[in-house]
Amino acid sequence: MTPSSKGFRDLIRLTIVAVVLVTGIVLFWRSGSKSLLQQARDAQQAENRDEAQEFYHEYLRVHPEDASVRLEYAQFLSEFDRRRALAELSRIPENTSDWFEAQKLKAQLYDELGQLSEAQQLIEQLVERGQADGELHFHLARIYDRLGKNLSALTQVDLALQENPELSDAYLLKALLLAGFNRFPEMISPLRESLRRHPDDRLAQLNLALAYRQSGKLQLAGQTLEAMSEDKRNWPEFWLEQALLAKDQGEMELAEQSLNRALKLNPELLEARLLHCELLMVQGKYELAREELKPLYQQERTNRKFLSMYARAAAFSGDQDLAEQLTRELSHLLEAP
Amino acid sequence: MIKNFVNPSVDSDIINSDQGISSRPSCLNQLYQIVLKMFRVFLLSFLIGPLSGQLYAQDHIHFEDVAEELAFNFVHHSPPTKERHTHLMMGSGIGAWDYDLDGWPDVVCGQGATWDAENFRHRNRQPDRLYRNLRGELFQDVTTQAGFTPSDYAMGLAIGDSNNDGFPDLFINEFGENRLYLNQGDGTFQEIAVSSGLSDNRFGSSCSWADLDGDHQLDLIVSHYLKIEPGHYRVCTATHGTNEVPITCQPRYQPPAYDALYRNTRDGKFEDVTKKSGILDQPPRQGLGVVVRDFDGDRDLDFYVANDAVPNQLWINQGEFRFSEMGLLSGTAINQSGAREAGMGVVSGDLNRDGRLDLFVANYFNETNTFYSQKQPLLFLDTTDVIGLGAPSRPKLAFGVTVLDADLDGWKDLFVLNGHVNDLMEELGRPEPFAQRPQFYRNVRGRFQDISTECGSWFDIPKVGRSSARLDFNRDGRPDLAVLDLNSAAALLRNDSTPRGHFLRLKLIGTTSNRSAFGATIKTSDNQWSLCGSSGYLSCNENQYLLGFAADRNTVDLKIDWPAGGTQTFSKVPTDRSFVIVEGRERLWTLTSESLR
Repeated sequence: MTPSSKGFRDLIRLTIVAVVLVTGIVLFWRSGSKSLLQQARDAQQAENRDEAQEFYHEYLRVHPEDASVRLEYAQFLSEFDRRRALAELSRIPENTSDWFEAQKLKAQLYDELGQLSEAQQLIEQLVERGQADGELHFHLARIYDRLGKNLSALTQVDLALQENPELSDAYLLKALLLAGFNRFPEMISPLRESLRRHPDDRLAQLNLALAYRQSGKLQLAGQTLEAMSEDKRNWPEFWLEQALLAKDQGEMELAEQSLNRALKLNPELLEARLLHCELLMVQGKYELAREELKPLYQQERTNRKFLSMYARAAAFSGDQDLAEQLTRELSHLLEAP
Repeated sequence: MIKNFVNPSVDSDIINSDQGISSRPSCLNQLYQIVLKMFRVFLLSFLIGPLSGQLYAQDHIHFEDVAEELAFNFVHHSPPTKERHTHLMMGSGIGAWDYDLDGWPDVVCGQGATWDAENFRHRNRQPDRLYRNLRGELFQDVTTQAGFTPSDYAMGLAIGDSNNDGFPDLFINEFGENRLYLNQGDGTFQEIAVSSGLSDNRFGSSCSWADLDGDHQLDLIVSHYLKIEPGHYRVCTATHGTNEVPITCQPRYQPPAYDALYRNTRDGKFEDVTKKSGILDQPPRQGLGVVVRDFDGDRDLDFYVANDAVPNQLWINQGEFRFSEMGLLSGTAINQSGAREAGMGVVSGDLNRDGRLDLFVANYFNETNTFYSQKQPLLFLDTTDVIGLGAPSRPKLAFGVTVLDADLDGWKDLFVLNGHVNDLMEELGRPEPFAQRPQFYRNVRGRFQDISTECGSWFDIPKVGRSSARLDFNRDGRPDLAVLDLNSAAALLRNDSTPRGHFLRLKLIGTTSNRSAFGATIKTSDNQWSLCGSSGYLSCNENQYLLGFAADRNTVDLKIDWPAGGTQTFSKVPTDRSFVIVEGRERLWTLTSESLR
């Protein structure tokens, strides 16, 4: 080693020491007498993300065992950097009191990142270990719902409401799941609960009308629709429900008028289109129905209701070949599990 | 033992198609009709009104259970096992028939049994029971005299004159060994299932007699539900939280069994023609209900099978025992939403009076009962919701269904029996009661109104309803009902409705057609009626037509299409009377007071 290289190394050392000292002095000057954690929180409050991260990071470097602050940091990170938040959450040990909250947040983040199977797996493990609360059951219910596992979703939403009857959104989900099983009379109670908490929720109102109608309580269905305020009627589904109720009441003219309003608001609303064709067929206008259904074929050829109706329209309007072809396709769909 | 039968009395009161009533002057007849009508109104308001504490309002449909009063004391026996074996939840059929030809319809009740799952057999086997109608005033249990012997678990009943000797015979489709009771004509029966070739121990359901090949002999259609063999009787459970509950298995996931067709070979024997028929060319289905009609109007008989949780089937007769399945193509396999439903009982008739036969299928809880309206030949449209039958039926699990014109207004009404297949649904958090209220749908010019709450106290009590048969047990011209609930006492519902119009009772006897005249169609200018050897769910209606006509129809013109191909017309037939029509004869014979009050 030459004298000059030794001098150079000393110079580097000095520089580093100086930088550290200056930074320390600056930070100390800026923070006054506050702790690192308080400074992190203040920075977070002031929406100064970078600074807050630095303080949290520094704090956790000094106190790596503080799971509460790590969870807090992860919650903060989750607002803008979910992956880093997940990394922080993974460092919270299981034997701490914050571990459970950390898992809930982790599941939420997986969900938000579109990693549904990771979220599902995580919650299922917690459920299996009897460590789930109402919110987790509800979360799992929502995941199952999105995955099309409706029966499992219903079980979870029931468990969620058992654990926490105040989970207002769970009532609506339960009703929607029941609708998928045609269990319409059972929808009424959860929808009422949902509306007790959110009286203006038009989705709940509309589903309540549907539940009443499908349960044979046509008058209550009518009253529910009637009670919906004017601003909520500017929704095609409202007019579709109105049309379905009118059909059940045998008021075909009103059904058609309501349906026209639904289709004016959303010409693409398939259920309304199919109902329109059904009404046409009841009136014996089979060819009109067939022509209305024809353009939907490519898009809807795996939809049993559509295929069935299109096959009927074709058969009634004398297009035997088309009717037979559609019937064959329908048959394949019906044989599927 | 019955010593002497009273044959259906005929007198010389003759009508022919050109001259109308020939033996009684028309003015006298009119007077007679008026007096008769006044007498009936007087009798109704004097007797029935005070008894029930009210005078019936016009348009009132009302039924009263008189089973106990008339000693019709059948109790169905089907105790559920701990595991809830499927067949014990399905119930048994009931049939109305005038087995002794005394002019009064008798009742046969299918009996269940206790199931010994370990040994795959029934215990406490009892005979199906026969009740003789003593002039509408009492029912006498004649099971032993008739020669009925203990059997397995009775499911479907089919009643028809299988050997054309004038006396109706009885086939019982069992979960176990089937029974064919051949009517000996002296009040006794000979059981010949084995020697006739109809013995079979599959899990049968509904069945029906029908002349399928036009040889004037009644053939047999036998529906089967599931393929259950020793060691392979599946049982199921469902869980709710930590609660594990036994339930009846979902039929779609159990092996189904093929339906069967048997050709009557005229020598007291039946040949299995299932293979030839084309039934085996389709996948087997879980069949429960069967109805036979000439759906395409070509004078041969077709049949429709209501299947449980899988598409229904419409078998169209191509001749010589060949059938084509047209369920999907005709629009009767699935509902308007493209969904397969859980079909139980099924009936057919021209319920909207458009001149074509419609179909009405009883379905599962949270499904509608489905009405398939035949709009063009062999093309049906599901119009359930539009005619008011959708919403009231969804919160029910329907089994038995019967068509009857209760108020005699010319519009056929519907009677539906409901009851779940699972008795523990509430333990699963599912508010689907085991016992459910029966329903009565009044047909108001093709649209139906659920008027169950107005039909009498019997309708107020939930039951595990299964099978029902139409009959006029007291011969008052109003259709009554015999009802069999699961594991319960049977009911006999006397129709006390105020008639809106007139009745006409007709008994058809085939000569070149089969003697039971199954497959014949009676037509007026604006209505039609037909009968076959089964009805609803597992059951069989009385083989007599009770037609209803509007109040201004004192006489009607009738046309009869016989299954053998002939057509006969009868002009100015007076209503509120009963006639026998014999195929090929130009005269009507009046059923006399022996069979009428």
